[in-house]
Amino acid sequence: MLAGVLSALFQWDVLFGLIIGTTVGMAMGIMPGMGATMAISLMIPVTYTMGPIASMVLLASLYTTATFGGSFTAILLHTPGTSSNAATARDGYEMTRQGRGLEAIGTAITGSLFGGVFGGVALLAIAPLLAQLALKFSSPEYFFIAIFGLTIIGSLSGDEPVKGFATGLLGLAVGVVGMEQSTGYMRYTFRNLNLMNGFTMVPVLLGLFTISQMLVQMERMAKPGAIEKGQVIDDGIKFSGKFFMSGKEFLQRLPLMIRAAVLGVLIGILPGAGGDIGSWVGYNEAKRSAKDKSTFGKGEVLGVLGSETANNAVCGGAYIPLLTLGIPGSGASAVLMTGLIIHGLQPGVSLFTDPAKQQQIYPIIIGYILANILMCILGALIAKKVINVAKIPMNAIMPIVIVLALIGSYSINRSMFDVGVTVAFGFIGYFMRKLKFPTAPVVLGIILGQMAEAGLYASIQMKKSASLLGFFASRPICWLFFILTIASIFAPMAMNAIKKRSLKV
Amino acid sequence: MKNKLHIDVYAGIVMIAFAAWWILEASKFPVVPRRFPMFVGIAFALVAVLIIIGGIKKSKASWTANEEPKAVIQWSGFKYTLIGFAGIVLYAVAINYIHFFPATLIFVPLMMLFLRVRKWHQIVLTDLILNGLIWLIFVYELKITLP
Repeated sequence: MLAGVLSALFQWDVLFGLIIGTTVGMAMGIMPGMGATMAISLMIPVTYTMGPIASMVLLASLYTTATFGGSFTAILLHTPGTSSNAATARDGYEMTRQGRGLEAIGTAITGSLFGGVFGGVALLAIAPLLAQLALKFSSPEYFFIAIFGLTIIGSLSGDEPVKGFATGLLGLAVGVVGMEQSTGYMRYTFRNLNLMNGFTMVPVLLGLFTISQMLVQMERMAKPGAIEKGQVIDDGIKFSGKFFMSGKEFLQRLPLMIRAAVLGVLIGILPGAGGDIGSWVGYNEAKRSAKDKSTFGKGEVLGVLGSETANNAVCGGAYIPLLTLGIPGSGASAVLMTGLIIHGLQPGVSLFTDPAKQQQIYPIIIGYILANILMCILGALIAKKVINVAKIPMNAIMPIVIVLALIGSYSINRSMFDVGVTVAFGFIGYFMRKLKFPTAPVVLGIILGQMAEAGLYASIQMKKSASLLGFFASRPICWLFFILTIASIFAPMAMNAIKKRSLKV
Repeated sequence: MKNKLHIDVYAGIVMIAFAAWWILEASKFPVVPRRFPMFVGIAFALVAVLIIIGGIKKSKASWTANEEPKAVIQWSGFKYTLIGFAGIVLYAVAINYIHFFPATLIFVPLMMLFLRVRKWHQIVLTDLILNGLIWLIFVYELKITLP
């Protein structure tokens, strides 16, 4: 199988996807206000005519490199490119102020490389095992998996889980539109043929994540003095330091990197936790294990190493429930899941048990590991020049992003109706952002709502004379997911407590 | 000052109106296709009630502190956004009538001017390079017939 995987991976289109994904992901990670979710939703239409392996390698590269790219601005400008890099800014920016910016960037690169590769290897090792367990699942179990997935929404919603549940329900409503699967009845289509198959996912995503973000940026620009070229490092600060750590330093720091990477993978597996919590937990681990804790927050290199190792390991961990059970653990991985489905790679056990699908999924995972290596080479090459990307004014980029979002929306079905959907959801998304309703649960609602409805109807047909609740209660795996669902409802409180504790230390 | 309610209260009222319409439509469906949308509608209404209760609590908290509830949308900024959004809508309509490339060639410079980009060479270069790249990627490489 290895030869087949390697030959599928080393094709021109796959390598092209790898390079484009890495480069674009890094650029979008560096620019504050962009980030991985927007990068993936903008690039899905570009992948539409590409093969599944090349497409998914491109999208997976975008995910990990956008997370890494955000560390540059966190270190150089004290402006994290993504929320996953907030912990990095704490010591990274202090190092820059002390004239050790290059050392901070080099450390972030080493940590990200280690965390990213570790996450990829963990994915390779754990996902097939979890898939074997998933072989025992049938419609009732998938119904409960979907319900469990929907409870993740609370974890994605920050301080106000109720608002997350509201937007998750909005996602369920969006998913209901169109032909009902078992009877063929048209729901909420109002005789519009464009809605017969429901809303296409990508135009909805582009509206919610991209157009809405552009509208929020426009509002910010209305304020006097809002348009600046970006915060530039003071002229007096020397951008220097040792880029690569020595072999001895690497060995001394290896235990920390392993611990931070393990924590990152575990947090990635936990639905709803994500890179921001991962980076704080990694930072906390670095501080907890340090002999001298007083240097943290004052330019401690281990702080940068811990947070950057953990947040990149999170990406690999997040793929495990996504690929095996079809549960996206974050907004970015929910959008990635849309990419998988578009390219005929329905997440689930068959990805790891069907030989034809194995020939596609393993090159994607190895491509993801290679993307981590490539991003670090690229990062090392552009380290000294990267500050210029962060200084590109947002107002010059916004029209480009708007045009790309609309053309991307059109290109899925060659439909102007989809362009209208993008614009409309952009406006809805703007109000959601302003009123602090998170947008990511909408995607989860659309994906998991259809899974829940199909699982529920199939369970009703399977139960025969038994009551539905009795039928569910007779299946042990349903119990397991029921318990996980209850745990997940209370997870946001526990996660917030962990984050607050990490911030305190 | 005591008359001002937190914006979540209004958001909850809009959500209840939406849920009522959604349930009303669902009630017209046959039994099997009705179940799931009915569940969604009822759950949405319940969550909306929770949001209204939360909004009232926030309003009371600001009244107690003798403060006005913080406005999340300021008219000056919203007006600017609304004009920008109208520009995006007009661009989408223009694509349908005058085709993609002419519409984009006009939209990009106008939007850049609206967003206060003042360097003309930056505007012209962005417009030409963007249209060129779109043609190269979407038309030449991906073989997509643009409107």
